[in-house]
Amino acid sequence: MKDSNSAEETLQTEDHGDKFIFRIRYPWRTLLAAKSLLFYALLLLSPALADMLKIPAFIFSTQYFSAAFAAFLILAWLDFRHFSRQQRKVKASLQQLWNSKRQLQQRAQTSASHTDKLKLFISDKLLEYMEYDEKYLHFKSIAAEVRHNGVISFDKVQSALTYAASHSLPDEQGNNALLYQQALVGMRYLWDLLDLSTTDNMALHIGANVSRCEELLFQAELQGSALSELPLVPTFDPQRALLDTLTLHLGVTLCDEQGNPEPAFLYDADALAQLSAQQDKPLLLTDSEGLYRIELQPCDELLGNANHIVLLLENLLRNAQFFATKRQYKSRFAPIAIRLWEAQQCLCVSIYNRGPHISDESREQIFQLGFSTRRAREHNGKGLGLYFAQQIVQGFDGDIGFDNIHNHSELYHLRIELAGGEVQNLNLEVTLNAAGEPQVCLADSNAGAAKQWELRAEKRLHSIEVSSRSNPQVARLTLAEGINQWFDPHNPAQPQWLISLSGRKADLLSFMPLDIRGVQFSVRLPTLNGRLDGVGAAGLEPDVDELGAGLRAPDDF
Amino acid sequence: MIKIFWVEDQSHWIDKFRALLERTDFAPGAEADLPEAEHNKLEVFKFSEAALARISQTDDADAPHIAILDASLNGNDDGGFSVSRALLKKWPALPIVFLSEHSGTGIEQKAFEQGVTQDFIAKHQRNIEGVLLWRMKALLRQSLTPAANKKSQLVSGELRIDLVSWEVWWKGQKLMNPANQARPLAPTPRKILRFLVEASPRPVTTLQMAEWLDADLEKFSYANYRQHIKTLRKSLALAHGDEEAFMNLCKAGQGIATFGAEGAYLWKAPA
Repeated sequence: MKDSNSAEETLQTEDHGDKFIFRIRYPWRTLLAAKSLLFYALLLLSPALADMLKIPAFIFSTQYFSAAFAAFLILAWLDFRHFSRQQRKVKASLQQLWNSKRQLQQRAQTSASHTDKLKLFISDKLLEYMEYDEKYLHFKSIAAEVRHNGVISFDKVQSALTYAASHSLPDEQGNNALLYQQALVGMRYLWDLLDLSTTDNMALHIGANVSRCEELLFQAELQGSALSELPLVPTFDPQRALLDTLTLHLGVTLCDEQGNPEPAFLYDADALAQLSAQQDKPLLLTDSEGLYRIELQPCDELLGNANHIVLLLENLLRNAQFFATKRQYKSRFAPIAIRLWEAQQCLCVSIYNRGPHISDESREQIFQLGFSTRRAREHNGKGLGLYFAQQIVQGFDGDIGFDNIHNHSELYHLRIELAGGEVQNLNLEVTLNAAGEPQVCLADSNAGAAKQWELRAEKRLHSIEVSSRSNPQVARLTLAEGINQWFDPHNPAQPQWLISLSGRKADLLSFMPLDIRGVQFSVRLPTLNGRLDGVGAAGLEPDVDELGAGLRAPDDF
Repeated sequence: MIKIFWVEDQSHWIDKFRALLERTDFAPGAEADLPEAEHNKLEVFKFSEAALARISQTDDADAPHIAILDASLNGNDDGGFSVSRALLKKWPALPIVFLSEHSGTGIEQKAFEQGVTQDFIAKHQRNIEGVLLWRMKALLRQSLTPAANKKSQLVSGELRIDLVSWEVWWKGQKLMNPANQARPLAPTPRKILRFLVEASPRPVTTLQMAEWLDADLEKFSYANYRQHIKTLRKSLALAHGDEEAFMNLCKAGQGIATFGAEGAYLWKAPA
């Protein structure tokens, strides 16, 4: 603590906005009082001086001295108090200044560290992208080199295979050079993959190819010539493309409806088209492993390169195959259902698999490059398949989407006819448990729901009729020798129930609701006639503007 | 007999196409091969430098009828481009075909962007021989058609319809599908435009158009006719450059104009 006398100066600070003004203030009152007191004391000690100055003697009394000393102390205290106040103010101002400086410093440090982090992040990403770009460019240049050098080899192999196929004798099955044909198909597919992999924009590349084919088609239409007269057939059969994908690229052994492997019509395009067109009901195929259920309906041809559709189907089917072979997605019915049909001049293909549902969050991302429906740890989940699929579909002016397939609660009515004409009517209620799996119990009973419901018949069963609340149409199952299980005939692709007979006398009837949860991808592409009529160019959306065409005046421009 | 200027650095393709190019009769409508004495004259170069030197030394009287160029020559991606530029500088109307394995890549894009070729054919495609001859015939048709039969075009003002290839041009721009400029215009609008131009200045009603198109009257209604007219107007407007200006012309009774109240339209070449 400083004495007021020793305080030579006082700093006064005044805050004018954001600048400080320092004013020095001397303790002049105390100094003056001290000097006066000293002079008073000098007069007290030197009476001769007082006499000479003619100061009255009563002033030198003790009371007056005490009063003068007290006045000095009061002045000194006032100055000291004022000094202390100023000191506190200055300290507070300095503290404030220091604090703000420290805050600024901290902020600067934080910003600097953020900037550093940002710089680091940007440079990392930049490096990453540069690396990716370099890799990409490197890959591109290799691919272009391979393409450049490989095209001659490709042409030689293609010419040799074409020659061999046309000059070879029929084999034991009567197929003319089937192996050569398959090798040619495989070779061209390989080439088209390389061709696509070296393009900058897959959708544009395929779109340009479709446009070239469309021009050929239009020329044939305008000049009244047949497509076969053109140097290059611009169309292909989508059924054949699907079967080629399965047999040649996925290695599936296809069977007809009766389970006979590799029926002859699979290898004869004309026979397949005739069979498909002649049948009232769709052509059904399965495979030797029981993974696929394929339903083919007659459909128009498509424009463009069949191998692009093969690549699209291969990617969707490989995805489906991945889940179908996983233990947790096994089912009692074929876990992959493929359906191909034509609607409104569009080819429609749906591919159902028993895989896990796709969340709403993933809905937008599912077709993006690098996004995979499979878990990251899995070997094949590179996120390329669905991206390719979408790019190809875009090139064909089509659309692609998916639906999650759910289980549903249902009430089934069973009418069981026993030998002798005795009839039993039963209502079975199917509910879903917490995990979303279907369970069944006898309706209006206290029995708990179970995976399957069983009935021990007292007499031999004759027939069963099944209908449900949502579909009152009756499915009649006539029990015959050798058949002991029936799937829901109303939903052959995703049967919702299975009725089976077991027991020594086939007298134990069981009804099992089936878990049909899965994902169904749907693809829609304009057909040949759709192209001629202008479907696809403007997307597949209806022309809203044209809805009121009939209401307009005839001379409306 | 025609003269073909061919630059190709790989012997495989020269061996593959040489006989074919020599003996094919490119005259319009010709089916049979040329007799040996009249075989086409092929000038084949393996290096762009040799081709460039030959171009500079060739007189106009000895000019080729068509050129076939490989885009990438001996590792130089610009090899074909430089030859093409030299050819076009000397003979601007010369048809040029690029025959390359770089179809669908930046090289094809660049070739069309720089206008150095009229066609870009992929070597690795199925039936390449058939495709090459067919495209060459299409390019040579104009130059080889005898003058007497040259009336293969329908011209009305700025509109030009090629009656053989059915290509339609407005102000030098080829009419394309208005919904997607990369795709060709559908056949029915092209046919409708041709009939309108042939009937001009008379209008064509829905009934007349259906008869000319040989269309099913139950299916071809005024709504179809109107839809095709709408497509045509849009396509012409896009080729016109200023969409609104062309539509205003149509509203003012020019181009494809609406006539009367019977669902009729007429073609009147804009002044």
